[in-house]
Amino acid sequence: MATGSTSTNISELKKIKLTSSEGTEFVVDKDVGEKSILLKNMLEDVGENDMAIPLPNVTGPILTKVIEYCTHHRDDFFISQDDDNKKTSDDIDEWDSEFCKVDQGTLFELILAANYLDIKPLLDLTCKTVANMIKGKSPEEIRKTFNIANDFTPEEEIQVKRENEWCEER
Amino acid sequence: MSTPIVNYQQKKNEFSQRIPENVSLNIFSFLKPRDILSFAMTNKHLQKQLENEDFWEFICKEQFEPHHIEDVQNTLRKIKELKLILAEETYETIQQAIEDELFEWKFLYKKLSFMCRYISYESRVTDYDNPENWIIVNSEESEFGQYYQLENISWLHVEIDSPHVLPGNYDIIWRLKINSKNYKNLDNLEFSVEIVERVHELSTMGEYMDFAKEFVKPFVPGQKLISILKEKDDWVEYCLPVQAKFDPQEASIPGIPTTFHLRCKIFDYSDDVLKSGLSIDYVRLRHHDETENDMSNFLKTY
Repeated sequence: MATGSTSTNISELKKIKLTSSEGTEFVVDKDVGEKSILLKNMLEDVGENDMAIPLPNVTGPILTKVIEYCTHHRDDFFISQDDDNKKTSDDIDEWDSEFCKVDQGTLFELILAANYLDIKPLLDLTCKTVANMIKGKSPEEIRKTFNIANDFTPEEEIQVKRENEWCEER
Repeated sequence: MSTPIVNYQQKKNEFSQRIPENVSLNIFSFLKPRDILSFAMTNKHLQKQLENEDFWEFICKEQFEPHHIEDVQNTLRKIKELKLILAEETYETIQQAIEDELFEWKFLYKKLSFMCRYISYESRVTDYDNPENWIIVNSEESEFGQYYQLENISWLHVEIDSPHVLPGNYDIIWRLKINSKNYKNLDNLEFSVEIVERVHELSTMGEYMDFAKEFVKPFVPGQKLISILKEKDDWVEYCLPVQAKFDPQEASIPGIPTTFHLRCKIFDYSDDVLKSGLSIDYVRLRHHDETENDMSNFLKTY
């Protein structure tokens, strides 16, 4: 019970172990790992423990990327976006945008990993990247970009189009 | 942990099914109306999300300030009230109806994005009366890559509309150039600003209603200014000494935030002589700074 109250200096130096879906073990600094709310909560629940935490949903290469992200941002305060209510996807900084220059399969696995591990800033970043890929495109172009199967019949498509006409100018 | 192990490879192409709903919701929240609908129209699974009121509530709250949402709700209530008054309903019926009124989030989002989207700060010259007499110049000199040049025209009329401007006090800034080499008869140029108050949804016929309260602020710059511009012989941002000012307190129906239709014009209807040497790039609005009163700021050279 008392482990939570140890001084932050010590806890920052602590390491934790993670196991990817293939069973590869990763050792990371505790403060880096705790960027993941899922891991943070787990560590709080189990307390001091040397056991590796299994992450069956995350592959080794993706976990490497996630750790790279969390390490780069380890000193950032992950504040929620409450103070700037106007959501925009134009505010990605250089490092982050370089980080997201990956193939689409990797990008989606990163999204899923960020979602599963509950790392909100990484989830926002990857979602913004996808949003930027959608902007200005027609539905057909979006389907092509993301390999989405069109499951509407032509009649349904016309119907949906009609319902959504309100977004057209004026 | 009971999270199932997903084989990503197997489902590689089924993007929309692979992405959990909270994730696609997050992606949607970064998109503007048109892109939201385009994205949703790709696939039934995504389209279904749009039928959910919670979806629109989330998007509204993510994209707009609470006071914006409240403003629009109040406006809509007020409009409903006015409609009922016009229909001569009793006071009690009206009060009850307004109290009971809950607006759908989808509808609110539509209104919100409609009212907040068009804060026009910049407009290109796109509308001119006599296209064949205006020369379109593709040039790096223009901030849009293209400007319009007047050559031997007997009369001119250029107008640019900003259809939905939020209340405020704005400077009107034209980016233009008077070319000294082929300058001809531009001494009588006139500028004007027309302001029309616009109230949304009051009319039963259409989306919005324009009030008759229209006012025009004309301005004739005079020869002195023209000669300064001629001397500069380069692009300037010319700030009209009249502002477009809309005070929400003076709205025709108090309490309803209106938007304003703004029309900026440059014209010279005297058709006795040919005119040349004027180039126009754009007109833009800038929030007027009360402290900045020095006339020298009205001209900026680039």
